[in-house]
Parts: sequence; C-alpha cells; structure tokens
Amino acid sequence: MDPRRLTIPELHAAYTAGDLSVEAVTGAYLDAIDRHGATVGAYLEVFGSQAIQQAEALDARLRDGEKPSGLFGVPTAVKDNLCLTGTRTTAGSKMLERYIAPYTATSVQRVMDAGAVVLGKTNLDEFAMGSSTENSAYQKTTNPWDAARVPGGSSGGSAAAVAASQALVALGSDTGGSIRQPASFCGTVGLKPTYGRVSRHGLIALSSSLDQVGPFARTVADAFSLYTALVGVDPFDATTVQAPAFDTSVLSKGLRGLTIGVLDTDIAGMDEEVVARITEATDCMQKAGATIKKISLPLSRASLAVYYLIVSSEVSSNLGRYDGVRYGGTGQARTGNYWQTSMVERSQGFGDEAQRRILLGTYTLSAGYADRYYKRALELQRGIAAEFVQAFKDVDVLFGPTSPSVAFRLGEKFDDPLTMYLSDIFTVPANIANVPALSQPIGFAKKMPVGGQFIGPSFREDLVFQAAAALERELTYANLAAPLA
Amino acid sequence: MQLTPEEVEKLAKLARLELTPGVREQFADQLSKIVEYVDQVQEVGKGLTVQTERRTVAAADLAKDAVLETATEPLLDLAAKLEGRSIVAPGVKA
Repeated sequence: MDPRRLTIPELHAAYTAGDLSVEAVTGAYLDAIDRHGATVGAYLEVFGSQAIQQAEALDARLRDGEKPSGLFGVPTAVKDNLCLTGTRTTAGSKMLERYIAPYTATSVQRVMDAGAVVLGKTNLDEFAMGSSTENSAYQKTTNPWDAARVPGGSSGGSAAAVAASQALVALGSDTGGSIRQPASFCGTVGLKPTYGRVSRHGLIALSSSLDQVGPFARTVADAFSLYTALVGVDPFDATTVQAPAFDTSVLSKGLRGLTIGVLDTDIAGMDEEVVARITEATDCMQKAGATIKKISLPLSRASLAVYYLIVSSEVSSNLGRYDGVRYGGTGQARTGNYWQTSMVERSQGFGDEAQRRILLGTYTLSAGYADRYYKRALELQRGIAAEFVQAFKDVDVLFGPTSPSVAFRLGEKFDDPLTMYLSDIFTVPANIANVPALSQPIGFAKKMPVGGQFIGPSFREDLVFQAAAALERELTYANLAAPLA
Repeated sequence: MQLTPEEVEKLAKLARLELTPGVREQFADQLSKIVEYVDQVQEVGKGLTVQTERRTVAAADLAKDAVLETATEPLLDLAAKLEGRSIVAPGVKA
C-alpha cells in the first residue's frame, strides 16, 4: 500500500500500530515530489532535510508512547504567501524574490504545533491575483489530471500538490475563490472559512477585508482536521473572533433534517455537463433525506463586479508599500531620485495582472470615481450579505457549482483577464457576504473533476462540514488519485 | 466607459508604474472592458439603500496597546547592510 493514499485517520492508525514511521511517510512524499515535481510544478521550494528532521523528532515522540492526534505526522504543503521563519516567501512575485521571512504566520505555526510536517512552499498567482496560477513570476503549475490544463488559482500549487499526492493536506488562501476554484479543478476538498475564523497574521495581504486562510485535503474529514488546527483568536490579528467551536460529530450527522437551497446556474458560458453533475448530486441528497429548495439570489449576481472593485481598491493600497527601497525589489535600480527608483522597481517587480489591478484600484479610488465605484461596491456588499442572511432563514445551507466549467487549458484565458475573472463567478459571493464555503468533488466532465460547493451562514462551518461529509458518503469521489499522482 | 492610453498613463504615474506604449494600449483595452463590466453596480439594486456608516466602538472596549513580541534581531539579521543598529536601505543615486 502506498502510504500516500492513506487518510489522516488511516495514517495515525498505522503510526500507532508501528506499521509506518513518520520518516518513511515523509520520505514517500518527498520521493513523489522528486519524480513528478517537474511535470506538476506544484512547489516553489521543498524543505527535504528539514522535513526529515521534523519527521525524526515525531518518530521519537511515538517511541516515547505518544498517541498520534490532530495533524501528527501529516505531510503538509504551505502556499508561498504564508511566512515561515528563515524561508523565502515570495507570494509568487519577483518583488519579493529576496524576502526571507523573519517570523512564522500564525496559521503555519498552528499546523506545526499540531504535528504537521511541512514539506515546502507551493506556487501561486502573483500576490494571489489570478484563477489559473499562470500569473506566478516563477513557473507554471499543471493540473495533475491533465498536464495541458491549469490547476486553477490562485492556490494552484497547493491544490495540485494534494491532488498529485505530493502532500496529504495543504494550506491556501481564499479572497474570491482561490481555495475552492483550484480544489474544484483538481478534484480535492477546499474550504474558505468565515472571515475572522483564521488568523491572517503572516499572510501577505492581497485584500485585507476579504483574505482568509483555509485547508485543502482529499477527504472532508481530513479538511476538517486541518481546519480545526487553524481556527481561533490570535492576538496578532484583531479581526479574529471567538466563535462557537464544534467537534467531529458533525461529520456523521447526515443529510436527514437538513434543508438545502440549490442555487440557480443560469449564466452565459455554463458547462451543461457541470449542471448535470449538480443535478445528480442534488437528487442524491434528496434521496438521502435532505429537503431541497430552489434559491435565487438576484443581488448576488453583482458579486463579481463588487469583488473586483473592492479587491482592486485594496490592492492599490496594499501594494503601494513595495517601492524597492523600503519593501521588496531588486535594490539594483539607481536612477538618481527615490520616485524614479521606485517606479523602475515597481515596473520590473510586478507582473501584468498585479499592474492591471493596481491601475484599476487607482482609478476606482480616484477623485470623482470613488463614490461611483468603491462606495457603491461597499453598499452592494452590505445588500448581498443581507440577501444571504435572508436566504438562511429558509435553508440550512446553499449548494451549487464551484465553477462554471472544468479546468481550462493552459493559456486559454491568459490574455483575456475579464474572461478569466468570470471563472470565479460562483465563488466570490461567499467572500463578499462573509460566509463559509466548501468545494468537494461531485463527479467528472470531459474526464476532469467537477466541484460542488456548499455555503453556510457566517460561523456555521459545522453545517457546511455536515452536508459535505454526508454527500461524500453518498458519492464515490473521496480521496481521488489523479493520473500524475 | 472607455479608458484612453493617455488616461492609463496618468493612472500609471499615480501608481508609480512605467508602461511601454504597447503595454499602455493593451491595458487601456483590457481595463476598458473590466470597467464596463464592473459598471453594472450602478444599475444592480438601484434604489437599494444600505447603511454604510461604521459602528462606533467605545474607547474602553478597544484592546489596550501592548507590546506582545518584537522581532528586532531577526529583522536586523535580514538586512544586507547595517550601520550600528540601523538598516542601510538601497541607494537611489545614479
């Protein structure tokens, strides 16, 4: 049995029985990265010797009689916009090529404290801006189900690593779908928690009012384990809140008694095969005892426009600090004055998508346009959030597609940013309304995985996990192995 | 709403970005399409009035300012060049 096919509970059982050591499991994952690393391109950096050292220390604890729990001995990948002391943290940008993090992100520290073995840092779209990971300044990442297709983005490296069994679980960040869309494209489970559940301390900011760290895994239960390790108040992030916790019993509650609102999918460019998988999953949940209601959220159809206005405005502000003198850059430009040096460093350090969003945000925040765009987007954000609150008076969770299509081909949408943005049309509403959402595999179309998305009320991740775990039991798409695994 | 290359150039100056003429043209075309798309926020939910004022928080309810941890030494270790305990930033003189 390939140890990379084991889930966290199976791995812990094998550790307890003495059938496997953490070092052997870690070694198996590192070997896989060696073999397929170049094809998939999931990792920007692999911590081979440090991972083995971590594994050896955990094996010593096993020998001392410790019973594995939490993330003990779980090979984990970390998106490269999360800081880890002493390691390069690039956020996929040339601007941060020389940045060595002097501290560790709270989310990374928490998974390490829970016993995770960190295998390395994964590729992403520059500063998490993108839906295909093609905006990385360093390398392309391919989809482990078809090397000619994108893994999704921006956490494409983390999704591909988990799908290709080059990590058992991974950390990503989700501002508008950057965990759920690549999870959908790669056939993995991915969760965006409610804003405030997980600390953003040590996460390089894209859009500070929307960014949230979350888990990737190959089963809902494994995603739950990683999520549990991540959540909680952090004194270093004032936006974290003390919210009700819940235990693993939510995973076995089932669908009976749940009312599920199925979202309409009537948009241009919607793949009929994806619609068919949603219909099949809905029928399956109804047979398993769920009550199904059709739900339409008309205001939420503007979420994508609201999202790009808010995000671009915050990007133009957050990325303003990178001047190549105080923050980031090559430090090589010598022009004779600070402003010109900054201009050269920023122009060379930021890629096209980062520059487009900086320009858009500069436009939407400029005198005469701020009310028309930014303020209006904030008004609509409140309206969309209220629409979700109203919907959750009638249903427990919402269900629909994660993306309008399966993974598209490399280069297919790269030169058409608006078309690329539209691939996030079903994921951004959860960020705008600040509610938790989870994507999981619900079948295949064109031989590629299709993701279905559950959305719950704010801080009710328990309902999302309950529905997702129950649907996973009804279907046969847990712990999928991609061809490149 | 069309953005001209000249308007893009003005935005680029504000954002401290230097664009070649070709990129300026390309961005003008792409940003025009994006602005046209996001402009739907003017029509969607027209008449919707939503409170956007921020809730005020009493000063007594705010967390007290306190130093939890400092990372001065690791930060100094990262610097390419130090003068005493001051970081020497890259020069800008030609």
